[in-house]
Amino acid sequence: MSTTADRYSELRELGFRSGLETHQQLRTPNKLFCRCPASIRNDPPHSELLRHMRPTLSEFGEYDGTALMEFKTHKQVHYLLYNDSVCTYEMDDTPPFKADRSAVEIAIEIAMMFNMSLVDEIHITRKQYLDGSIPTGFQRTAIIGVNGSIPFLGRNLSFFQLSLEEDACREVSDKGHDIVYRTDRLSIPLVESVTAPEMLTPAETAAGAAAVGEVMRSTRKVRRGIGSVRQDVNVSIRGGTRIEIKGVPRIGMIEDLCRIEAYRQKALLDLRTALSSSGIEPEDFNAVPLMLNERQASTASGIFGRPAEGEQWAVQVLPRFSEWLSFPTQPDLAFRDEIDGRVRVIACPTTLPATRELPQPLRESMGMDPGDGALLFAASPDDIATASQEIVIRVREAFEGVPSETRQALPGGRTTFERILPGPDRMYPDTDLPPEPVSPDLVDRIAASLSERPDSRRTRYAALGVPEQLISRLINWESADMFDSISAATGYAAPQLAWFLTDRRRGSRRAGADWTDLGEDRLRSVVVGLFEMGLSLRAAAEVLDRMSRGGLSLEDAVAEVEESKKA
Amino acid sequence: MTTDRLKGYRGEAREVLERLGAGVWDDVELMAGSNLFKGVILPRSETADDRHIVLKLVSGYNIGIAAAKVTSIAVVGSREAHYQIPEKDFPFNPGLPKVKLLGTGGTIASRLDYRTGAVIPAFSPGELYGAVPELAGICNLETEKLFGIFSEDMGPVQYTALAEAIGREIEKGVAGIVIGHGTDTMHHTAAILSFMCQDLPVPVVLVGSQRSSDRPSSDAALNLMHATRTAGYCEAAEVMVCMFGPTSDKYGLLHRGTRVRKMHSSYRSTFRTIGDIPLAMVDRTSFTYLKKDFRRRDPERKPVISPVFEDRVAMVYYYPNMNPDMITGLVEKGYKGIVIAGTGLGHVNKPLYEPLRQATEAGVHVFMTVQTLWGYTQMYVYDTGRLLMQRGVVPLANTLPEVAYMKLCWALGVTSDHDEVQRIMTTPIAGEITPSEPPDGYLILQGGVPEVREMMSGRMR
Repeated sequence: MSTTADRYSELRELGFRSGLETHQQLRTPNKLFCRCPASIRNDPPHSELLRHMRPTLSEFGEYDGTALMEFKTHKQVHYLLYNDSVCTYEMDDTPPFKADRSAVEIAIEIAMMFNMSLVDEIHITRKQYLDGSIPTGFQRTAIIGVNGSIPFLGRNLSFFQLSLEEDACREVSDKGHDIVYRTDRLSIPLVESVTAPEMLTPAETAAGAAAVGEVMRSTRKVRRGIGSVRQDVNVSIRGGTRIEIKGVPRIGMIEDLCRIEAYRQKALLDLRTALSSSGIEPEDFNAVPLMLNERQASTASGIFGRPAEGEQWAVQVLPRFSEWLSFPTQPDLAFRDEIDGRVRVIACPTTLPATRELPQPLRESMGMDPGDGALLFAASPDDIATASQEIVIRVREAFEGVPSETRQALPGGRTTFERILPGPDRMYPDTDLPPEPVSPDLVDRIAASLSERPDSRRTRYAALGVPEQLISRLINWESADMFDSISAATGYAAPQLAWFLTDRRRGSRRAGADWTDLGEDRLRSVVVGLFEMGLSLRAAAEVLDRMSRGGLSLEDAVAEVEESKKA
Repeated sequence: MTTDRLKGYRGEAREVLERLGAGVWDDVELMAGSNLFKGVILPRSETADDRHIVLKLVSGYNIGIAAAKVTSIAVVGSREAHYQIPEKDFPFNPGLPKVKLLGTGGTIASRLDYRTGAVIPAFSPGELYGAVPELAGICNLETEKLFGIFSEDMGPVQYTALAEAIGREIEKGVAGIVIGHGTDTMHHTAAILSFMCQDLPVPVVLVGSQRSSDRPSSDAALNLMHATRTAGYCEAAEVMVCMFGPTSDKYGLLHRGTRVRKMHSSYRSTFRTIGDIPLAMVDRTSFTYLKKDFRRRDPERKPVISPVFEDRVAMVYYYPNMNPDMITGLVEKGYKGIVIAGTGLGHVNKPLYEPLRQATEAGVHVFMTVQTLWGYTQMYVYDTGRLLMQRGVVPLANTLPEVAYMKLCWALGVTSDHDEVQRIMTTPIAGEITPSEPPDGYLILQGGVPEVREMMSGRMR
């Protein structure tokens, strides 16, 4: 890590801090709050549902800012349904069933793996999501453990909490005021672990994500594959704000996202400093959309194409702000893109980009001062005022620094506005399900069969001479238990056995001979038997290939391998 | 009365809080074992156990901590909840119709109750306007909370009070009346009001919600918009139920008060017109009338309000092997009327014949309806029916069982004359008996059938 530390010395000085919220789906046959199969569908849906969302109050009587923002979007939310794999729970037409037992137990196990203190009674809480991703308008979620830590880079990485929650719908499309979701993923159980903001460089954040994943996967009770793990990456620098980059699907993306976000915050702080001596005041900006006359509108359409049906061209003027619109914030992006993201998400125009700088011929025809910024947009009459307001809100925020936002990852490590960062006001108790005590008996039972933690495994395997990379694969590819049991029953050298169970096994699978087809128990007993017959691991691999690809019996496969050796 | 500092806490948990000097809404730092928790102590549900303390953490999550593990609690502040929908004065717009909303309870407007952890009703025009500002574009709304009860607790006292309130409001000249009601027995109330309030000059609309208004996806707001629009503008001056047509946020249906029934325990589209089609569809902007034979709005018409109710009436849902005691018991207890929900066309088993004969001979009114809900009684087809009629049991055509019950309670309140009760019961008053059932009066689509799947594909449910 010393070289990366050098690479990031500037970010360290800027006070870079990062924390992770890791969402990991659990491997249960059924969903969390209903008995539907936890399966993903890509075939055409059987029917559709239309809903709208309204904000509701937290138990302290406050509206959540995000909820109000989402309400401004007036989204028509469409849900795609499958008759044979979703039920009336996913439609929000039936109250929840009691939380799936196996999901609760896996969540408790993972909390223990993070050395957390378990709650004594599980309370299901509703977390409002007005983006429509959950048909109820809230996610059912419950804290399972708090205050954990794992060894990390020679120190400890601490955890605030682990919650068990239902997954949301998958978004299919989002155009204008219509957003479409598939209900298949809805209510698949997942755990969310939340670390403290203790990662001090982008490289550490990526390493943290890997370490968290390793712990979860070492239970062998979590889902694998694309979309089964999603990270929310929180980034801040000194003087900046905690920004949440939502739903990052691959660890490989984290480093760039963190770095670019940190520099975006620095740029916004620099912009604030520059504006403070510019003589411009936040009050100079007022949301007054100017409508284009027929001739001006046809000029705009001539340059940018006709707006969608029902949308009209309008302009929001930003006095003396022209030069600041092009203030760079991210690679190839400028402050105007910060504004654009907000307008796109909240005013929901179908014509994209949501805003453009007013072209010169129109500036002249509308009599703009050269220093004035002017943003052109197309929106429906209902949305024009919203768009103007959002432009002005974002410009005024430039005088304060970095606004609290949830941001969405773009290709290349850049991000764009997704929504205002939600606060605790969006949480309220779920009245549909009673609190559930966590019995000491259950805790004892889970503790007795707890998987070995990755850090302890790493130490043990390193002492056996297994190379670092193979150790990671044993743990992350869920082969560590198999390694331990074969290792105990045979005299195969540990480094070769680790290779055999990871790289060699993957090589066979890619060549069409998946040893998994034999079943884990059979695979173990065959390998132990081959050791007793005096076969090397290379030969054993060939036997397994023949058994799983050609369906040969153990005896025939061994005979063939011996024969081929003689030849 | 001072607020209970230990609201809902009993036994061990209460003792620990008392000993450590903490109470609900206290902002605390609480040590349990070796763990420090920071948050607000919340009231405990009375139905939950007495061993846990509920804490709302800074993150907004709630957790339960075993009281036995708690070693110290430092109170650092207090944060009492004021769970209120922002209240604003309902704006007056002289161009819009005046609508009166009568509240009875239920989940059309509701909030959380920490004592039980359940949803309880809340009601005021300002709150409603704060929650559903669209209402101000539909009507000038006035509200009056008559009672705050769950719909299963509705009874004669409430029915008569409602009928009287309707009479009062009509006299004051409102354009229509909306009744906020829990959905469970909404169709019972719709039925009794259909008999108690006749010759209505304006619409009386019952409305509720299947998802409480504390949820973002609630149907309450849209139902309320539909209902106030119906009260203010609909042509039909009848007692109606206004609830979701499909489960999607698309349109509401206006069901005649005597033909409607709650048909699903949790779907939004739970109310269906039985044995006929609904009166109309209503959406955010307009009405689509499905039937023509309804009473038209006429502000000059004088309503007949007769808020009477005889509660010595029972409904007996017949099942095979029913013991005759079920009938003799009611007669012995002095019941004046019995509505039977019989099998098929209106049948019960032979052992009931004799007790039924004795009942009718003793002057008890016995009426037959069908538990199939759809279809008519037809007691000539089989001997059983003829033999029952011989014993004084009177069929009520296609009157729904609950509607027949309400009608009999009302009829026995109107008169004690035996023949007059019989005449009232067999004569249609508010659409409870229809001359015929249209072919699309019974249309329950069967899921799984290919042609139905094809029909639903790509359609809003």
